[in-house]
Amino acid sequence: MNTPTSLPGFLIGEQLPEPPGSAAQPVETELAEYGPNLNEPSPVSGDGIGKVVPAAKATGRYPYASDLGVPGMLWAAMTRSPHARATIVGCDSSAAKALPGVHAVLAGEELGVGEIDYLGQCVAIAAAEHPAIARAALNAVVIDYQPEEPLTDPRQAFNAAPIHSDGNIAAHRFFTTAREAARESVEALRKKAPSTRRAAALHVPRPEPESEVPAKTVSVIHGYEFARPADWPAGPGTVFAVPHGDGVEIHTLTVDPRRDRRALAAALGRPESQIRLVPAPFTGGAIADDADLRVAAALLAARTGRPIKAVDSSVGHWPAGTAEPAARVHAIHVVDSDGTLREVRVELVIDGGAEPAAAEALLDEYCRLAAGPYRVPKVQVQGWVVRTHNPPLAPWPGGGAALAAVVAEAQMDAVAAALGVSGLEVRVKNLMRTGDRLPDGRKVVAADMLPELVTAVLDAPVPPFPPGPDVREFPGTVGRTGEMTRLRRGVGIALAMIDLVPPGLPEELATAQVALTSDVHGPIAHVSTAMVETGGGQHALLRKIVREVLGVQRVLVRRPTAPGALPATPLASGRAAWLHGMAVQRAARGVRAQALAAVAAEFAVSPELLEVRGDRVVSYDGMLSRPLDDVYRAALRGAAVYLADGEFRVRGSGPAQPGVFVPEKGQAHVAFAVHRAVVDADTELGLIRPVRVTAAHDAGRALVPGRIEAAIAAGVISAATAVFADEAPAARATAGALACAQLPTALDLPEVDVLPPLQSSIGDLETTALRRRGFSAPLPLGYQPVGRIAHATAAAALACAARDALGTHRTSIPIRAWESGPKR
Amino acid sequence: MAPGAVTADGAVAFPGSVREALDAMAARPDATLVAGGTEVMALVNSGVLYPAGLIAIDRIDELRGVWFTDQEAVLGAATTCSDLMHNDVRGVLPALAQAARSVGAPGLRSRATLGGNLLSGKRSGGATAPTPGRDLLTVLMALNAVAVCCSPEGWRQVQVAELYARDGGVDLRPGELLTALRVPVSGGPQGFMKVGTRGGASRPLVTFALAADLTNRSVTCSIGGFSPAAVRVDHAGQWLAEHVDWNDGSIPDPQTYPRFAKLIAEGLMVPGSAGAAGWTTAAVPEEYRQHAAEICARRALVRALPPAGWLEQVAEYQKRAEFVRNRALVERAERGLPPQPPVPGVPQPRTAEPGTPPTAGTSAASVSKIPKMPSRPKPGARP
Amino acid sequence: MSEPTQSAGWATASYELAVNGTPQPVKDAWIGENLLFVLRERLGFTAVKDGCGEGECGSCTVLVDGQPTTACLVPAVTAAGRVIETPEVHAVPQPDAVATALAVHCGAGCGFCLPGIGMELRALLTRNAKPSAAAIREALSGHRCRCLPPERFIAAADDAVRKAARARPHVPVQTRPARPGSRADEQTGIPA
Repeated sequence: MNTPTSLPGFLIGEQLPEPPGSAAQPVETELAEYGPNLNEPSPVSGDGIGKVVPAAKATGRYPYASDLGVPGMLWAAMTRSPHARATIVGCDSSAAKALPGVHAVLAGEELGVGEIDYLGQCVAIAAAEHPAIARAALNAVVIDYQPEEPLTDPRQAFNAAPIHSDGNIAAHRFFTTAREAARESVEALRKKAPSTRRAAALHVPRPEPESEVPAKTVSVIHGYEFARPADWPAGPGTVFAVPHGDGVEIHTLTVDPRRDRRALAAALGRPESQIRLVPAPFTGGAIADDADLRVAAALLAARTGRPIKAVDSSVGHWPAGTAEPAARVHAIHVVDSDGTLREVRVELVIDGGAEPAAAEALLDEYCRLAAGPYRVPKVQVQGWVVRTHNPPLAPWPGGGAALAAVVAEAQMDAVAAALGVSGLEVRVKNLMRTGDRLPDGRKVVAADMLPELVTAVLDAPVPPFPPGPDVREFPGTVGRTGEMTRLRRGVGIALAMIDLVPPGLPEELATAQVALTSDVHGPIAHVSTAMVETGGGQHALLRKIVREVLGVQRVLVRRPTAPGALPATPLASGRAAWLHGMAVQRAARGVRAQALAAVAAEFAVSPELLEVRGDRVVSYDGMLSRPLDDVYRAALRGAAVYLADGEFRVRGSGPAQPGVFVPEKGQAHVAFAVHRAVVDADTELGLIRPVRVTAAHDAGRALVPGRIEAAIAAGVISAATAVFADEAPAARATAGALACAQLPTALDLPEVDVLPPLQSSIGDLETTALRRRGFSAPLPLGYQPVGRIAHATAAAALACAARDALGTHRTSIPIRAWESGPKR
Repeated sequence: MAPGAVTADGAVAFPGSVREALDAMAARPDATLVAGGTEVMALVNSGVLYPAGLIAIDRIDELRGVWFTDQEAVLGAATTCSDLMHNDVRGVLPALAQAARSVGAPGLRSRATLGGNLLSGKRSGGATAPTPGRDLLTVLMALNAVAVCCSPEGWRQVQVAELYARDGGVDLRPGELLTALRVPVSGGPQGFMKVGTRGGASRPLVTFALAADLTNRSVTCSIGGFSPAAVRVDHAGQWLAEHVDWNDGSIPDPQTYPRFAKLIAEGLMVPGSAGAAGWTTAAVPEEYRQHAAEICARRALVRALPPAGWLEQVAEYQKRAEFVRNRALVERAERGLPPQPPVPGVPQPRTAEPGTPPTAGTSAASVSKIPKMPSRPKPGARP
Repeated sequence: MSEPTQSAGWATASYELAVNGTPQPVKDAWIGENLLFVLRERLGFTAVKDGCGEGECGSCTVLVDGQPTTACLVPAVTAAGRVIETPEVHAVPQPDAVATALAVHCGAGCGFCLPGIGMELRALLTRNAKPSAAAIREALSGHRCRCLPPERFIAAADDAVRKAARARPHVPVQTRPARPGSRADEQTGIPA
């Protein structure tokens, strides 16, 4: 499985394919199917994960991007800047170009790099016949830097001289519910006293009557610091670039082929039609998706005219990170003496690095979710994204939801400690209810499942406490420091939420086509979708949806081969499964309506009102039914084909139309999760061993339960990494990147106990709101947001549990053994 | 080509004996010596080192293996960490086996060698190593090991500490090969402890080794991880030797434990001129290392020379823990559940009757049902 | 291809590796190449995955003389004459008990680490027929799975133990590289 299957005409050998004479080359879109042999037409059972792909993975036959290669390809290498801010004054690559085996060296000006904006910026690339030659060539490149004083402390960005024409402050958000609350209290009083004169007097916002007699309140103030997340992919980022006549074909992991294609076209100065991007399978953990690497490989392929392989681990690590926290949060929680939350005030500064635009979404999400899933009358959130000379902020695992959850839950525990009650009590007392407002003023549509989630987590069994006698079950494990008498167990419960359709969301679109036909083995459904299968089982989800709608066991999913077919907009991670799933579902329903037209006529009902339940076709009221086999046999006689298109859109705001999901104005669709983490800590050494994380999720609809469990587990693992992995960024210059990251090993990862996901929240929509918008089905939520919210919740729970076990209120994440926090 | 044959124009040498290895080193002074390759290849893979030649010494029988006599154990320098974890070594030098286990994951231990562990990292006069290491050195120092080196001039035996210069860098003579380590076998209690950056095999922050020799009535201890080379803390050992009742190997005064620990921690106070052990742990504050060294020293001493009645108390703790576990078993049995809780997230083979109720979780109250740990041992008995 | 470079830092060697019971000649390879590179790029055994090149991630684990070994830290030339086993040998004619169990229990992840973990578990089950959960965790401590918690692998190992006890022993057949005739024989892909 070494040659890309999407290159049917690609020659094994030195010779490159002829430039495409005709327009037959499908360079219009990134449409090649990656692993067509891995489709599973056979029905799957159980958790819906299937058998073929797992077997290929376990035996090492599943093709990742790094497994691609052809004889005659060149290897890329990359030099990253050792300075955070500098000007390149001179650059000599003649010695490097003279080395035998070196085919291309691009450095400094040739690469379009004159000014260094951040530590680790790509300053030179080379292509050679051997990866070691490529690195040797780069060692021979002499670059003269004129370093300047960099701005690395985000707190200095406000007062420092601007380092960019756009200024140092890239974004500022300020949300407050105070105005809203004042207006509401006026409204409420108006209702009570409809007299115009008194109402007029009430126009001046006044404190509510209760607060005139101020109850004794407690304020809890803490500052939290988050290091840059040490989230590493299981496999390195790999780009395989093949020059293709005028164009370049790029095989790499990509979450958004269209965006990346646009960026590549801009970097290469070529029309987009000449760039062909083939998505490769996903490798776990962080997205190994490096724009520098893609551009380097594409440039070198275009320059040398030969296939280029660029692997992140051998191409060049970041020379150094920065010890500065990437986010600083200052939170104030004010509670009554009985534990009722009165006010939450949050200020935060996010270090966006040299390209701060990407961090705005992080800030937005934080601000919307700042208070956590709790009822707070007054929330005030203010945040900034600043520009510094630090490396651009990588996508934060779990997003702003994770930051918000860790801070909010830590504050809830601090509040409980200040009041001398349990953290659970404070949480339950202030639980968010349906109709409560988020900091941006939107009302939460459904929060009814929160108590159920909390109860489910509390009901799950706790691992027995004294671990051992095996020393590996103690904190410190094979370091043999474990001592039963100096062990304390900590338990942390965390609630978190995630915003499904943020208000500013531009329209996202997905389309699909479903065909129902038959062959000698019976009916078979063909699905065309633009959804990329990256090894995460995305297509298994679509198969499941079609099976459910049509009752057909054999479903083939493929990406379209014709350019321009099935348009789809870039989808933010987390909504891909939902949108594509809905598009496929609508197409499948269209097909069903066509295929069942005869039965519908017989029943004298509209074909849209027929459903497939088990092996029967049933009318909507369940009164009339026919065996499905008979119906299909009649409908599919003579190789009949039924074909239907499906389309689904989602928008953050605007008028509601059929086929477009728009949340009602001022409403927020939110998914919830509750986790309980149990950790054991060595109280003297501060060493921590996570024991178990119990996860209760509201998953919307769990179509492929196995995938949901896996996504939650992955979220918990990345959370354990974020909370406990000790990244030593300052050492990156001299040591390997992964050796610096010190990710948790199998000895210090928790068990993950995934409780059966609740499937309620979106079900509420089904009856009223969705029907009005022309849907009759619940939204099949993808598993990606499940993974994101799992990360957010587990990170908060693990941090709370660690604080509980250590007895100190640690405020910097990751929690390290050698740091200490204020005593409780 | 015969299996295993290598044609390399002299770039790669496979000496079959120490003599041949020395000849190869003399012939190719620029060649890189490779036994396990775990350090060399990390450098080569990252493009720091371009070896002009390789001398592979992993197949020299003289260098690999452990030989025992009545008085001492001789450890070949190319013995791998997994070899050191063998039961025969574990029985005689338990601390060494414990240290070998904490060096790395199994895939690394099968290659990483004893000599490589001692001689990796900082060179004499060189820069600080990227990652700290030399966990085995801590143990060998505490065990009074003697390093056997061979060069064309002949054999040389030095205390293992003398392999290092004052700055903690490796200080072998040019053309010299570390062939073996001779470790006296005392048979007394010994132990190794490591505080790392994570639970599994990790970079050391502090390593501590302690060995008590009941016949010679001495205690030796050493501490590593905070500087490039481990150091012996002899004054603490000598002080301790005066406070041990050597007739039965017990410590009469419980205050001895914290005092000994304090001595160890204060030994760390002397600022090491050698600098940090490695870049990746340089940010860890000295206070924590001192604290960790103190804790490790106390715990290691309690394990090696327990206070009177301590073993009984540990047994009591373990009995209680066992009781809790057994009670959980009984409770599960009473409720008709299988003895082992199902592995979360994994479908279990169905063993229960179809009629039995599904695995209901224990109620929330079960948290409080966990019995209180027995009260701590009497202050007099526990340091 | 260009002429082999005989500079001071560019020495080459030719040797033969015994991979999965089949001799695999390697011609004019740079002596600094690690076993992982030679197995993957020269010989085509791509089931050995390249994760980090630092011995940290365990994706490249193979068995050398029956011992689990991170191939990225082995100079390939020193592996000449050793018995090397890669995940490929356990996939034919049918996936063995370990691979099957991993597919069943751990197939939901990205799968990048699975071949290496399979080799580690095979080595573990060879020396310990019924490993405890802690022993499995320790064995896997050199593998970074970023998708699934350790208990999935513990379940897989248990399953493999049960299956191995039931089934007749797996007899590995000699395998050719994934793409016979392309790179292993011609040596065209990589210059010396």
